[in-house]
Amino acid sequence: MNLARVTGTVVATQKSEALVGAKLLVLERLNERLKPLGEYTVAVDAVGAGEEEIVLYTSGSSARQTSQTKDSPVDAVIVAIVDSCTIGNETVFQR
Amino acid sequence: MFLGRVIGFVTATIKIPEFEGLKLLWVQPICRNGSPSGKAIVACDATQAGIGDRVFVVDSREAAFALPDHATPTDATIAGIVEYLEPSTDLESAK
Repeated sequence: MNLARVTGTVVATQKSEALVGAKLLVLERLNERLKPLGEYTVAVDAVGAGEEEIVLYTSGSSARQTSQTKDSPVDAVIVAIVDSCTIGNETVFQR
Repeated sequence: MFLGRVIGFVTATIKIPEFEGLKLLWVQPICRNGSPSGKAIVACDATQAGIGDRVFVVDSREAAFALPDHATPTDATIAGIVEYLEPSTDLESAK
């Protein structure tokens, strides 16, 4: 999975039928020290993440393995809202 | 699969049900000689690996097959803890 910050929402009335009802969030990928990597992804939100929250998202075919994204044209889904992030014995993030 | 070193972990209470009880570890991909190669990712742990362990990670859809629930929406799972490589390399010194 990758770490990311929620940086916005995608509103699209004209879209694939299979995406109707899905909440689409714009994620900015972060590295293990929460530095932005300049990579952006549109992901379906499966956990109710809000603006600026730090989340984990799954990419690729695995992203279709949730009840909300089953058989949908989705290759990125938010799977967790991060409480803490530790590298070595240093806590680099605490919600 | 790729070789990696466990460098940290992530905690999350709000997450998809399939991730309940799964440890989420930061893994830095490494070369055969132990030097870092590429961006760190977060992997589910199926082997009770700890920080500092050298591991190998299965990614993409196949990552779920290293876990009891083969439909887990994970795109990276630690599939094994490396004891040593043959022929041994200076990876031994990078313990």
